[in-house]
Amino acid sequence: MLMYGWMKWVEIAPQRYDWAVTVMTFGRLDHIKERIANEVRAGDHVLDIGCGTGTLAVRCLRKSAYVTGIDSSKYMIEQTQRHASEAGLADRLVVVQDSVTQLRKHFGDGSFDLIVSTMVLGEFPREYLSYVMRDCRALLRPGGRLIIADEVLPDRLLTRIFYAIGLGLLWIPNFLLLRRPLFPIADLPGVIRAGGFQIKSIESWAASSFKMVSAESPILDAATPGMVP
Amino acid sequence: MMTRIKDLGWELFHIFFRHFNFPCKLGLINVGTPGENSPVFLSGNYTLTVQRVLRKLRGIDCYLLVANSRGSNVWCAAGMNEFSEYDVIDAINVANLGNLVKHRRIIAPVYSAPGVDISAVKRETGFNIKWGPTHLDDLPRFIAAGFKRTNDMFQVKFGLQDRLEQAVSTAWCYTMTIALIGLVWPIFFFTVSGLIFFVYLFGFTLYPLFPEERHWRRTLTITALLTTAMALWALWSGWATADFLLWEGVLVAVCLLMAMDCCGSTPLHKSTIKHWLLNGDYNSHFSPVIDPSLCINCVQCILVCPCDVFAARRDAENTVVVVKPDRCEECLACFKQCPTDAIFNRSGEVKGDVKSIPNLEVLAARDWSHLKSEDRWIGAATGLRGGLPIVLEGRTTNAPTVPPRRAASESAATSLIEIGQ
Repeated sequence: MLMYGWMKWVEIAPQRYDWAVTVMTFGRLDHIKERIANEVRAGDHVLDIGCGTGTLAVRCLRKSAYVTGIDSSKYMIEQTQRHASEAGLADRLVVVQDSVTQLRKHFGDGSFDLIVSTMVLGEFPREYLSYVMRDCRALLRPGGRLIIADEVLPDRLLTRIFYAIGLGLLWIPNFLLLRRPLFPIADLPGVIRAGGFQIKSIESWAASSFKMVSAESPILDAATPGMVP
Repeated sequence: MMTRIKDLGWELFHIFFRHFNFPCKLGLINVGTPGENSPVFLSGNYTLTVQRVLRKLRGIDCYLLVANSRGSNVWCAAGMNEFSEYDVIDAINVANLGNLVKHRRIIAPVYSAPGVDISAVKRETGFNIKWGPTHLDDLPRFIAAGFKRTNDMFQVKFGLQDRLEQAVSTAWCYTMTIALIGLVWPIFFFTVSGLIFFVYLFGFTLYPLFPEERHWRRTLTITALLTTAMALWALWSGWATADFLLWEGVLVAVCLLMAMDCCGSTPLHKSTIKHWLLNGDYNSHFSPVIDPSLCINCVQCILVCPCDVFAARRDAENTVVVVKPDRCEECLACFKQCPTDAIFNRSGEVKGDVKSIPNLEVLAARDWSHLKSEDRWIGAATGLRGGLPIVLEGRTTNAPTVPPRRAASESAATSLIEIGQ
């Protein structure tokens, strides 16, 4: 009976995604998405990696941007489309159903002004992230920006210990509500920098366990060594 | 010595918490000293599975590709759309597998078939997914046989170890659920927990000895046996009637819980509690039938079915037919893998827990009235040819098939079959 109920609960995980994220991030994420959307300029071509239910994509659309959302879940893609249609902004939205390592199969080099991703990349270990960062570097036009917001490993050792305890305590509610495996990485800015970006700003929340990193793809200069041509 | 104790402790911990997600790190694991010709095995990132697979692969130079199943076992994750072709493609891309090995073959757990679209993996990465054995215990035999599955590696088994793990982990979940009672009424809590463990271990250990669940026969048998034992004990120890009635109530409740747990989504049964209450059996809603005009004889359905539902026709026609629909446990792996949507559904209903198939409700509700004549294959005698179950010509019977879910031990025939395409 318990098992049966549990299976039923797991089945409807995507439907409760939005409020589950709000609960598990203590309402922080809506604020962060608003902040990210404020960085969007009218006419920007924006890529939202792991667009989910489209809460960030719709905010970007409202800023008169052209938004491309990519997500591996058909359900989530449909939600993004629905929310954009309800806002009457679907004409500037393109959605792609594919996974995060397939970006370059769909988009040409330099096709975006801004790449954003919230609560997606924290699911992946460092190797995955490095892979995605390399792709993002190619997809952004020179001078384009990248904004990543996700859970990370806190900076200090002591905070990491408290974080590990907190994560242990939140482990059951996390899998009850969100079903999101977390591999919080240390030094997210470092991974982004290694992808060839210049870090512009780093903001931290919740004892540095949640970071928003804003970076810029450098304007190509033949004299700059080590740049991807 | 310490390592072995640590391993054992870790294993026990995971067995008790089997119903929880334990994600382990994603990526490529080198087993031994693999080279460019070494085989590649695929796994989800459920910690217990990865540990067990690594143990089975010890001594073999190979790669283990751990893809994202969100810390769940691969079968549940595949059905829930939490382990799909996208996760496999990501793992292949990030590991740069195409440059690491010369061949283009990945041996995947067959339980990933309900979720992974192998044609998409092939299209995006060039890698062919070949199905490995159903149970990871068979991995060494599978490798020794030259990466070929013998027929007995196809079918779902529910061996003693599986049953014990299932009993312990489920009983543990209930014990944790009622743990708060222990604060106010510890004796009752410990007795009830002990009873839950006992009933589950009793029911699952002796599982093959009880009758098949038809008209609640299995549940009634277990309840009657345990009630008799308790009544004898009560008489022997001189319990008060009120005490006996209280504990009899608890016992019946636990037996009912166990019966209803079997309704869930297990590799043996897939039914709803409503169906069980109304019919007293665990039969699946889904009942496959194949449209011969659509079947292209790729035999993927045979290769991914853990319940021996399908057989190939090799008479005038080269198609696959359904011979034992009542064995189906509705994992829908056949449905997911069929490239031409040739599989129809006799009942028009699905249980609804498989989320990995787009338009499942529409496809499963398609009219199958033009396929009524295909029912003639139900119960047809089958034999093995080249390892593949084949309908034996002129041996069609209308006799009822062997009762479902009891078939695991009968698949004695052991001939080799080339996996995959």
